[in-house]
Amino acid sequence: MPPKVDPTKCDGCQGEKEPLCEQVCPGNLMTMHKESLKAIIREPGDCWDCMTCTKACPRQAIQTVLQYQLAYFPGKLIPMVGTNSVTWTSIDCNGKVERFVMKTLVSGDDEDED
Amino acid sequence: MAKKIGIFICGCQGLVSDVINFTRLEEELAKLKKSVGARQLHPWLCGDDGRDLIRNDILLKGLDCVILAGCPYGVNDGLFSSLAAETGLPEEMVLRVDIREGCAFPHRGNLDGALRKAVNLIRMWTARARLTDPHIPVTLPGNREVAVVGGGLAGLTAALDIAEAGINVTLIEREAYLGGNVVRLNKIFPRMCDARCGLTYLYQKIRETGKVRLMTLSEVTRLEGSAGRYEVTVVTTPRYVREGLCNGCGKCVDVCPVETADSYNFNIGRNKAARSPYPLDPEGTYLIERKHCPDGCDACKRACPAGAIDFSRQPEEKRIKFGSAVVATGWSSYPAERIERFGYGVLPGVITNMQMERMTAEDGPTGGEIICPGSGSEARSIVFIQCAGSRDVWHQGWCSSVCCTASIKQALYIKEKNHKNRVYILYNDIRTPGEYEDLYVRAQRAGVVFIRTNPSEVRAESSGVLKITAEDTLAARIFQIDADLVVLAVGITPNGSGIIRQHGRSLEYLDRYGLISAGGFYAGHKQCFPLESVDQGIYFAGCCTEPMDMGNTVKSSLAAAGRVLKTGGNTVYVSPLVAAVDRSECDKCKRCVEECPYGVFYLDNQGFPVPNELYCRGCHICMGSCPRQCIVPQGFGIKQQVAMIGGKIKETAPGEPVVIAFMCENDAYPVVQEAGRRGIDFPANIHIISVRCAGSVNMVLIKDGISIGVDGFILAGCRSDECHYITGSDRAEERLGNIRETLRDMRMDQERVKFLRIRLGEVDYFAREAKSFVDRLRLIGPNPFKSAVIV
Repeated sequence: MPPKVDPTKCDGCQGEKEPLCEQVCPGNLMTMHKESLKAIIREPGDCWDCMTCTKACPRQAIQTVLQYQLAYFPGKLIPMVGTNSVTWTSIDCNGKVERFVMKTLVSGDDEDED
Repeated sequence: MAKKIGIFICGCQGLVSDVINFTRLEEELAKLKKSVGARQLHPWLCGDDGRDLIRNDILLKGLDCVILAGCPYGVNDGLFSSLAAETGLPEEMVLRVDIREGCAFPHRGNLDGALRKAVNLIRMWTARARLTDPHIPVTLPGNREVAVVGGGLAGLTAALDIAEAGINVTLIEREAYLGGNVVRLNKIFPRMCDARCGLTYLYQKIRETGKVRLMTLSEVTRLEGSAGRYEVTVVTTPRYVREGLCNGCGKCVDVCPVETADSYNFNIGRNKAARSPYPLDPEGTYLIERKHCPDGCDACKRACPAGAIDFSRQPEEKRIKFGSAVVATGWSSYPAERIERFGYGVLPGVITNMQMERMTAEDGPTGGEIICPGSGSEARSIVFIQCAGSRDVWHQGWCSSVCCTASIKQALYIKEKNHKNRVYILYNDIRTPGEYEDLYVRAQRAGVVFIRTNPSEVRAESSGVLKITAEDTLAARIFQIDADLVVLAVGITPNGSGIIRQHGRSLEYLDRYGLISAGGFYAGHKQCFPLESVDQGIYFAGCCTEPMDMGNTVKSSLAAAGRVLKTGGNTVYVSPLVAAVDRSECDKCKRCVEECPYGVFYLDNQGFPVPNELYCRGCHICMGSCPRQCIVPQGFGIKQQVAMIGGKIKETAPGEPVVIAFMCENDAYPVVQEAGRRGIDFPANIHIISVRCAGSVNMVLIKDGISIGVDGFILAGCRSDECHYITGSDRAEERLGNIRETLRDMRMDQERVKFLRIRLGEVDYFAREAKSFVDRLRLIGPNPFKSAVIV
């Protein structure tokens, strides 16, 4: 299922010509709506749920709804991108919440103690 | 990257060591090993042997960064920076951890918590120290010369002060004469001395210095460059009379066929297009105001016996380079014709206070006689209407602060001239601050009648007498007064106002290239940066930012001159706090460009945002906005902050929530110190990091913290209208709002993040909010990511 842009949160990256989601989308599917100046997805059927836009949005305005094969509404997968990690909150169709932390970078050996 | 960090912990003669158990602290800190070169606990680091200990350790163990745990920044700063200087350690490599005001003092009732918190704080600062580098100084070539825009009282005062310090000054004045509005005043309060006396003195002194280039009839049309390297374009209108040839015979004035309203005398009386020199005219020769000349007229040219008149001259454009500037463009009277009910411009007997000033002046158009401009007869009954167009929602919202005293002064002129004249002052509130109250009392004794009212209208009778209708608001009755002359005390409109427009916030100041010609001046924070413009090196003096009396004008000019002397130089030092963009990470999203409150970013030819180092105030709001965290100022930036959050903060007691608070260093953080000093208890769970501005906190810090299991975050900034960086605290609140919604979507409690607006002194408010926040977190339970699957 394609990403859903919350128009109240999206600020079209402050009227930029190319908002961040448009820059990062590997399928070039995001674009700016000419009148509302908010991001929209132009071919929802072509989205393959890579979630890049969801992670990149600086205003947390984009949400990815899970494919119906995986979960009915209100199933959701919510990423939150930190500097060295991405946390994932997965909510399945029964409302069960699972949380994961993925280290994205080798964050140096910041261990003090031995 | 500090390789060898020294950690020095001060017991502060028991103030810290009585609360924090040093034996256990030492055990805990012994675990800190990576790049730590020395660990010392000392009862009193300020003392001689304490300082010797630090000095010896720095020198013998080769420490490149020192963490002093004890009192916060602002206490004993000189002591430790001189210590750093002695050992050759850069000042910025001495980090201070506040375990006294921020930990020992407020947590006296929670010894175990205080110990755990102290350990956490020292671990956080060690993580920060590992990533701290000495500043790389940046300097730019500068220009020592100064431009002063405006040759009124403020401009002349500033120019003299700067010139006396041996610096070359260019003074740019739009009119042909110097002295602005003040030279046209009759007398000045409170001493009732001649206005021109002081100005003439200033002017002579300026001439004596030989350092001031005076440019009259010149206007600034364009401003370019940045601090130390400004360049203005100045257009000079010619006088059409050759200096040196003119012998001052005055024949050109005699033959001139054009009569115009005399703008020098505020349109009282007439003058001709060919003019004799003004008082305080630096050239001192005749001039011809070409804009009034009829086509093809050359009467004056034919009449001139010296052949000094030359119509072929063209306006000259000059470019002037300078390093810093004082802008003193002064003020104009509020256009009184806009206040229709008083009939200015329609009834000849209604004049403004500046016209009254010219009329009473000995050198004025009437030779000091107070007459009715319509009939020419002597005015016997004179009514002053105060607050004409001031403190009025339809006109100017502000009080001009001088008109009350000015009208009282003029009332005294009239009474001194002839004590039988009747003078009424119709006022809303008499505002005669300080010693001006004496004048008020003198006027009352002299028989001036003060009536509290806001007149409804001025109307002319068929006999020519003016009738003013008003309600006496103290006696609650309608009354009418007959007057020969009505004086409207119109207020001051700053030339290039903008600051006082509505709430003092105007974004027009971002239009920096239209700054001087179009107005829209924005003097900085009224208390902290009262004279600063948006551009570094350009300072405001006098009434161009807000109305003020002459005393304050002189004060502000001297202050601006002082600022110029401080900042001007052949070398411009760039603050290490300025923003810097890591181009390897930046993806040109331009969010920083949009969010910078001062508009310092421009795009280079590759499309990367580049901050103009000389405009940047170092608020780091761009750092908070950057979605890729690639704005990395020197010193304390996002890399260090990320490391501090990841510095493994442990619970202060089993099961207790861990809270990180980011506090604005201007308002919120001093409140915490104040709480500590007063011994006001707040929960020990809160670990405080002071930041430049609440707006400098990047939301990735909060996301990082949540992912590693921090239970709660506090972000504390100033009140919306008190933010030192205009939009910082509002940005922070907005960003935090988005985080809260993400948390809600993630099925986490939104109340894990809290935004506080704290004003200086609100100690109890902070303590109360901190306590309720921690109580709430205990209720919500631990951060669910503490038990998340780590992939």
